[in-house]
Amino acid sequence: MKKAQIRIFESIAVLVIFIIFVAIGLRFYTTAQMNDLRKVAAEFSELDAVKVTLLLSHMPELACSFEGRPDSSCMDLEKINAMKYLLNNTPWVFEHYLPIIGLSDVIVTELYPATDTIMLHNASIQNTSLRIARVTSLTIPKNIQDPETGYKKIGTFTVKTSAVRR
Amino acid sequence: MKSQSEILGLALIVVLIFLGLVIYVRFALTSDQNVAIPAQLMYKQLPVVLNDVLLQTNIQNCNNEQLRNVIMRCVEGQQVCGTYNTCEYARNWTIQKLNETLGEWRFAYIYNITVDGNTRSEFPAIFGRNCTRKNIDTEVFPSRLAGRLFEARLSICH
Repeated sequence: MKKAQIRIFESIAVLVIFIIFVAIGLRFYTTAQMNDLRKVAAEFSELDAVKVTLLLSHMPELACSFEGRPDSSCMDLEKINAMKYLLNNTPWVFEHYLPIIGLSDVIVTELYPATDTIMLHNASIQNTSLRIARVTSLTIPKNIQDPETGYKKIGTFTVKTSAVRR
Repeated sequence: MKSQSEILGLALIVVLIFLGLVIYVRFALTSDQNVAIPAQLMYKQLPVVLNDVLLQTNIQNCNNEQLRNVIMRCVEGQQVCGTYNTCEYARNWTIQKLNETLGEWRFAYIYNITVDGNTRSEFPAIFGRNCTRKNIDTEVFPSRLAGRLFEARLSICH
């Protein structure tokens, strides 16, 4: 083999090694970027969950009434049951709330004095074909008022918001 | 001379790879330490909402009075919880409910009551777990009951 050929091979070897290093660097960089993007996506998904949870938990349609005014610090048991019935049995009501509720499971749980769970909306039954990327679950404590007695109970309001994989 | 320059080149590459790794690791670690904004939002909301919920709950064994009224009755020495001692019952009830909520969700917390700015021996502060973190969110629920300033303070450590 001539000296010039050896030099060419040397140059090629250096280039190959250089390309390998660049590829490894790019791999590290894209992995870091992908992780960052996933975190940002998760953060947006959580923000969306917070938005939905606060919107739903402060809706006058579910809030207690005090002297004709809605009191969003607590939820009315009768309104919860009525909303559950309407969401499950009246298509136009469901369509009206769909932009807010969307792919969210909405659960009201009574903790005191009795324990009971009311599934206000179950999105997972209706959307079995969708590929879910992540589910964010947020629970906030709420008073649940029985309008017949006026007594307030301890409960929680949970919204499980699903983000769809695109 | 040629071999020396090759060794220098190799050393340079090793240094560059090392620097790259250090930057990557540092970047990855600092990203993990950031707490997501929504979580912080919820931490701020939790003591506000929970304190409100607890104080407004009607207690079955205490004439269905709200907790804040029961605590006030306790401070005034009145008996409203049937055969139970009002102060003991109100405090035990509060401990149980805090355990069922904040305890279940693994939060450290402090709950204390003041009347006219003073803590009351009838209702000593309640501590749930030891707070080992620096973030503490406190919510004071002030109200005027029977002409006295009643304050319930819930601090959540996260």
